[in-house]
Amino acid sequence: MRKLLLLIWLASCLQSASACSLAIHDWQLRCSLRLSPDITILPLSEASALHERVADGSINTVYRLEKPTFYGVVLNILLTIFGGHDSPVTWVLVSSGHNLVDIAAREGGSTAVLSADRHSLKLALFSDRNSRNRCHQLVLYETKRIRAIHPHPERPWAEETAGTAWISLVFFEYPVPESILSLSAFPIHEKIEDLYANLPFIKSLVRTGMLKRRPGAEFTPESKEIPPMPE
Amino acid sequence: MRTVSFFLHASLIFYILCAGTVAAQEYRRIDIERLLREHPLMKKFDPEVARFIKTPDERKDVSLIRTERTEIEKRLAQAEAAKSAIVKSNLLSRPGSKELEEAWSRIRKMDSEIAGLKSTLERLSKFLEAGGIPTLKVLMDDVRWMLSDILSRQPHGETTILLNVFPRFSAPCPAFPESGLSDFLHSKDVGMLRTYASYSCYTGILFPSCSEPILFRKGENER
Repeated sequence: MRKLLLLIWLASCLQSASACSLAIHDWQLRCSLRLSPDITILPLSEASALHERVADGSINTVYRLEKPTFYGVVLNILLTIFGGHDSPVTWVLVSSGHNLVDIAAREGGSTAVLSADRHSLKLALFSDRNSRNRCHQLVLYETKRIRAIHPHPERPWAEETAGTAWISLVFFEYPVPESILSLSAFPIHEKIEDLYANLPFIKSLVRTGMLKRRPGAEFTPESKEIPPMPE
Repeated sequence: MRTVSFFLHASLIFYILCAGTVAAQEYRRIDIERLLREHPLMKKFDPEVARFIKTPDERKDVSLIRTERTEIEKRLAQAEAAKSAIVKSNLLSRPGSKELEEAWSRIRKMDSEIAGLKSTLERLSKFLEAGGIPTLKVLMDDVRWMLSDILSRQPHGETTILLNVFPRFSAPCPAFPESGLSDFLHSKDVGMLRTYASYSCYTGILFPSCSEPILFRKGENER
């Protein structure tokens, strides 16, 4: 009976505001910016697209086709170091002038070749009405088309996916290190991951009423989702 | 007991569906229990298992689910092999740009099919783990549809509030965490009342549009 009550209540609260673990926010869009870069800014969905293949140990090198830039090289180093793969995987930047299929056919075996195009990048700033617009969320949201090929000799694989990746920074008043509440990103292992949360600071803001206290989990389910992005 | 529970659930959903119209001009009294009993879908209700037979809500034989799962696994393996063949013959053979786009289009279609099969496989695996009993959501969907159907047949204006006659069986008080309504009613303890009041949001779910106390005739609800 109690479960049913809870279920009905949850159904009636589907449109509840998003919440972090301690505070409840009512995010309002303040401003946004849309760009169409020709390079990847957030390569999280690329790593996620290959996660399953990498996990089964069949890939040890990933060739990422992109316009060669210093930023791209740095990203590849970061992907190699922090790719989050159990087995070591080397990410190599290849000029986008090359053909994806040609490289896949040439390299074969334990490699994967990946390219991303049709990039769309949105930068949006939201303010929390529950904190009288003193708490803010800055979201960097990227969508792109990803094509990946793994030319395994027996079970070759290819996939085209619509990659979505975002990184969200929540801060109080100013985006300076001591005012940062949390940092989260998607997708990391296909989930939203909290990279950083300043719990003592959040608790003090909740205690002093600067942030609206989130009622118990049974009243307001926690949501790690970002607010809807503007079109 | 299962029947009692079912009708109580159905009554609760009725309150959700008929959540109040403040500016109502007219009140109309209906007996949701009687209307439910007369509904054609109720002929399929099996009180033993509290599920509707010959609907998606019906309890399934575990061996049938296993057979279906094996079949899906086989189809999934075939689809993945077919996709590998497309990659090998149409993509890695370095085709021209037109053929290349066609190959990607075929891969997208195969991925869509594979995703559908994986989703079915996951559903069947969960179904199997639950011993062939569909989730409560499936039951709720059936009940919700039945109640919507019943209510749509009731002649009433847009501002009419439909008042349901409470089910005519003794339903247990909702159990609340830590301390509940039944505890309070039996002990008449002030501290208990405070705790109960702190859970008023739960009772609000039961009566979302009710601002008046509910009065019962003496003896009517005594147990």
